[in-house]
Amino acid sequence: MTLLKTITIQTPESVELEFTLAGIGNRALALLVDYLAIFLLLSLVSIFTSFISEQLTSLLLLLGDGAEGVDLWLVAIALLATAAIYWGYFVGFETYWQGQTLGKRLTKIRVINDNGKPEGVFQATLRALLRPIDDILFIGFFCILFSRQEKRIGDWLAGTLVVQAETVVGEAKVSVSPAAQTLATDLMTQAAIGNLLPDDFATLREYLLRRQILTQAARKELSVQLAQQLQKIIELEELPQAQLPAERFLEAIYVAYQKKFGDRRRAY
Amino acid sequence: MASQSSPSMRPLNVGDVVSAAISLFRTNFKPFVGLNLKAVLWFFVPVYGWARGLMIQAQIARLGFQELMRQPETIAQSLEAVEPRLWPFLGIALLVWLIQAAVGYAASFALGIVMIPISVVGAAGEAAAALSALLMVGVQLVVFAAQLWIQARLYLWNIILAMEPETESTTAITRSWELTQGNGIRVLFVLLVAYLVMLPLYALTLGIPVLIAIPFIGRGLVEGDGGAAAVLGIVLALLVFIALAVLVGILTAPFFQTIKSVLYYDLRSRREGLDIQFRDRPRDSR
Repeated sequence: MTLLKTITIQTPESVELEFTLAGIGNRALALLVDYLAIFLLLSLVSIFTSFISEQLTSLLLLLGDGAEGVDLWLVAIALLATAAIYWGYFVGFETYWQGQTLGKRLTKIRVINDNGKPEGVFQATLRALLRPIDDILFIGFFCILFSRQEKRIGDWLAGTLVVQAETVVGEAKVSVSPAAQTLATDLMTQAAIGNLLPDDFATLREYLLRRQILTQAARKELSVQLAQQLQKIIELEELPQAQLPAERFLEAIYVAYQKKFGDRRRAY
Repeated sequence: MASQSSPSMRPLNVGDVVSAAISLFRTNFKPFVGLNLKAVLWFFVPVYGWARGLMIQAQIARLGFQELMRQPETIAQSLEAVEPRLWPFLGIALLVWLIQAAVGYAASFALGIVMIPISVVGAAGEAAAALSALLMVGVQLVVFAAQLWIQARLYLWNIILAMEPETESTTAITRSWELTQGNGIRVLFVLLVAYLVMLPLYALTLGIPVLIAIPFIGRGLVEGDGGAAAVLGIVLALLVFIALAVLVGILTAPFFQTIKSVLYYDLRSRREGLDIQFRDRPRDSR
């Protein structure tokens, strides 16, 4: 089953980079957030403008001059401010945050150059200028949906891709009970910890990280199931302690693997 | 250059659920739309047809989920799995509807109780009136959000009925509640993005009839006998609108079923660690 499209980019140095494309869902959500932010900014500007215009008109009337020309000027300034906010928002954020806007940051996606480099000012500007055209009759939407690289017209012309921002794996800490720490030293001598593959370790780590949000029943069932499978993998005939809780056993194997291999044999 | 790879192991974020549901729908476009067409036709038959239609729609969600699990089923196989539960689909649908209606009534009752003092305050003066109007809008929004939230928590009942034959039919509701625990807002956001993505189709459904009606009404204005031409235009536009709405309904309903497939997969990963399995070992298929 193919769910999210990926793309492989070959750099001039013949290094292959693989990215997961952002996907229509993330891009729609990001656009919604960005347009909400722009809407808020524009409302602020319009409130500010009407306030200024009122003050200025009464001031000019007080001074005895006519106020005819002033409104026109204010309208012109407001229009300029609107355009500046609309385009400036996208160009500014995408340049400053290397291809991310508020919405893109929230949905963890990023605009990059076709060759994998960060997006530049020129590309951000081109994308922003073509945005209204992509929005008319949802042209951009259909382009993203039906093109292999999920590009809207702005992306085609600017030569950009929208991809998922890499999430840093391995930062979260696994909490291990002290009892498991001591058990780990026993396991290192009694069991074949070396049989564990980096993939197995990643699975184990995944369980230990996410166990708290699992339902009670699933947590119990899964821990026992994983423990039984691991016991077979590390060729442990008998558990070091009778009545050993499955989770403590899992924690101990996790610690033992880390002690044995450290950073050398990691899945990430 | 672009290639496709296996799904990531990790739980998906909101946008990814929608993207995944779309690609699931696109790869199975013909069978899913065909099944949904059957379901829509069944809905014209009272009672038995309603149960059958609901069952077929849940079958689409099941087919999607099985594909996500890399254990794809044929349509006949999945029919065999869901058919014993034909009547529960109607029964539980009614029950879910009743729960939502009851919550709605309770909410509007509570709304009334809260509203009365607010409107009394509003009579005190102009500033108080503005304040009370603002409060009323706020209270109504809260009630609306609460109703949506309940809907999100009960959203998965039909795929649970289709996927878990060993559980009691009525527990499908509590199962949905349990699976979506702590994820109600996430489900709501998934639905929001799903509607957002379908917005172009809805806009076309509304926009094309309006475009058809405008010239008729315009000619009526120019030639003076506004009535006849305008009525003709509006009737024509209405007919086109109904046809388009049915078409869009048939096309989008399977998409919302694949949303359920992906949500069910995602929430079972989050809440039951469905994806936490050692490689190359038989997985527990429930």
